[in-house]
Amino acid sequence: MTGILAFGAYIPRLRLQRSVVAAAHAWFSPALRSLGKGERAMANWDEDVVTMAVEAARDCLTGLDRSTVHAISLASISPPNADRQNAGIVKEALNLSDDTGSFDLSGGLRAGTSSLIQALKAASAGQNTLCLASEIRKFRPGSEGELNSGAAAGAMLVGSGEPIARFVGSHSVSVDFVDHFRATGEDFDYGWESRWIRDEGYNKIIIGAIKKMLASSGVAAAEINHLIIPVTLRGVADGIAKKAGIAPEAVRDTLGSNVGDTGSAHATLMLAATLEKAAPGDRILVVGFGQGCDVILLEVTDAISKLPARRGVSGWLARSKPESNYLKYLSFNGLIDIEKGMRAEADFKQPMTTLYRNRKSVLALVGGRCTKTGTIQFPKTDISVNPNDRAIGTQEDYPLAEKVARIMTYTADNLTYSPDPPAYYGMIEFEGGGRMMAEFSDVDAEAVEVGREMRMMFRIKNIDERRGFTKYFWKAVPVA
Amino acid sequence: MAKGIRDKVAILGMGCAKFGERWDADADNLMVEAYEEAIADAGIETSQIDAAWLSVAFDAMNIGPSGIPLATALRLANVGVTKVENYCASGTDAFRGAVYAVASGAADIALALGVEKLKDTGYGGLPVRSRGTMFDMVGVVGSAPGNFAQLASAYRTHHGVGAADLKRAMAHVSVKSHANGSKNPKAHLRNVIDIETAINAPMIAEPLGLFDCCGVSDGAACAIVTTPEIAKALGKTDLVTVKALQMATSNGWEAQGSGWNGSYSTPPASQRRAPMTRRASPTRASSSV
Repeated sequence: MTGILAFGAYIPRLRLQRSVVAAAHAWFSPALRSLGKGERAMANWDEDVVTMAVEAARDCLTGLDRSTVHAISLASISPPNADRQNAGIVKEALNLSDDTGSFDLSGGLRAGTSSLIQALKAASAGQNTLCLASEIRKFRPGSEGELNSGAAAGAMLVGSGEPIARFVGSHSVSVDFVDHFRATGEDFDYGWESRWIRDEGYNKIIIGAIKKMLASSGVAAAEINHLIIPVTLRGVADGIAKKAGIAPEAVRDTLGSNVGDTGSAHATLMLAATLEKAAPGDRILVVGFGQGCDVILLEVTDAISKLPARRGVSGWLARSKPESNYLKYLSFNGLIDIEKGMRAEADFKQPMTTLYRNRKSVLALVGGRCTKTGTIQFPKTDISVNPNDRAIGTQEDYPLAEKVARIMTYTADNLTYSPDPPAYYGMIEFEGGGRMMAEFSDVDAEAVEVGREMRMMFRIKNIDERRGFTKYFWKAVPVA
Repeated sequence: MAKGIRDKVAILGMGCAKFGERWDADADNLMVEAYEEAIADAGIETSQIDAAWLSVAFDAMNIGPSGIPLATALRLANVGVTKVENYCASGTDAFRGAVYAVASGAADIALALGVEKLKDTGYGGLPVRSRGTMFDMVGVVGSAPGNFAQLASAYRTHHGVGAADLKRAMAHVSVKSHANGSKNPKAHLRNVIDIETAINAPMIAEPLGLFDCCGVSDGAACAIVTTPEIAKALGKTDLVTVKALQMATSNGWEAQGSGWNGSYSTPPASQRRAPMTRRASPTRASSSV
């Protein structure tokens, strides 16, 4: 049987308060007030599409054997790299075998659902694909998109075996319906009138595709238990359900009020939220919209109760911090260029040779364990740090990314450059052994104390703006 | 078994530039300022210097690699000049080189000079620079205050000291240093401060406030060393001789092993005694040089 084997999600901790954004623009666009309710997920300065995808992947793979992943795909229309495979960076961070396939999908909002369809079809040939979808779109300050959108990532492990939701079928329609567009190299998209998009797009293209899907699968509209329409505009999902003959209670929460529209990741994110609560026998209809429409029909199986617990959408939603500093949002997203001071000018050009040689240490946080003494250390070195036996060449790989750690010492540094001062860092000690000096992230002053439990997260270390190269590493984050 | 260097090396002359924000001076001006005083104190000619050690802790904002800048600034007699770079121990390390050269019998008179021109950095504190390709990928680019500040949280946890008590205890150090500086005409900072000023100063890296951190200065200092016999032959009396000199470089055990509790700066140097001398206590490690 083929289908969804596991699901995962990641939502950044910061939640930008929409009322603050609307108020900032009220002098020019008072109408934005009507959209200024609730909150939207906002990425930290050290998060991007790749780092969020890594977290969603980790969530998805909780309690599962990572060697069952044959390929990894990353769908996004806001990837950090146009030519340095983004899925490939995620593969390194997950410490997957080099014999893992990887590919990026982009170009439009259907990238997420299209990647799922391709993976679901490839599953029957025996391939398990970890389908990731991740988005941090930039919008012009004062635009509706700025208020409506959110940053998040979703993950689906697709393959064969005992899926938690079996693949019944899919249908795809492709039409060059340009409700909005963004040319390569442009920062912001350009959209047309929403009334036209609703009438000619959502109500015709989506409904047409849904009807064809149901007809070919032999499943009646009334039998759909969960309808996933990743459009956060009020009334669109309900209107589609009504016109398609799907029960109103099947319409799943679009997460518009507390996350925002996460673009090509949204359908995957909503599917993850749905699977958290779905029961065996439930039929799920997933829709993707963007220059056409993808429709995927899934049926939940008994295996869903056997899936090891994961955070999922609800877990990440619970880990939240309201953000009322709109300037901080603008600065983190490169929408204003604040004075950063001379310390920010330091050039940390990355030699590609050293990154490649050390990619397991740097991207996967793999340390070393001495096979002679059992000493665990980071990073792995030729000569062990053990004071009683400095054996040479005896260390084996010892992954540390999934280990819990505790703070041994720390400081909050106001002097060193940080995009979000002060810079928190300190010495952490891993459960089971091994310690390292680590940057902390997602901290509040109150959370930091000696003994605090921390987990490692994959984050941006710094960006070489001169050459456009993102350096990643792992940071310690308080366990929420 | 090493016999140690006790009483094998004597100070022939010492010199020191005026420390401070020396907008008026380049590194070579500072070197000459310190050297002028030292060579006059020694009462010798430049041509009598057999070997030299140059120390610079932060080359990012200074005179560049190699010993050439010292040889050029002082117009040494084309003798060997070793450039030493070992962070804050650079000066001690340069002195060590000069002292060992004389103690070994390889040189009659040797010179050690340290210079720093940090005020060309353009901002307060130490210049941000690479610490090597591996560190740049996995290390924390913290400030110097931030790195040392971490001792505080581990210390108070280990010894059960409250944060406010520790802050007050630390403040005494700066009050003492400022008092000393006020008596030294060559000091950069010559103002006297009180405990409350130190405690309430702006926070640099928790819990270190402004006065808990070193200022950053331009300056230079120079030592000319020789054997006690040569010093006496040159008319020196009441000699200051080197009894023992030790240095220790961490092998990474604190940050990578599990033995360090994060609450102290280990002075293993103090535990490495020169043979046939009394064991120096940890608190007197710095005075054994």
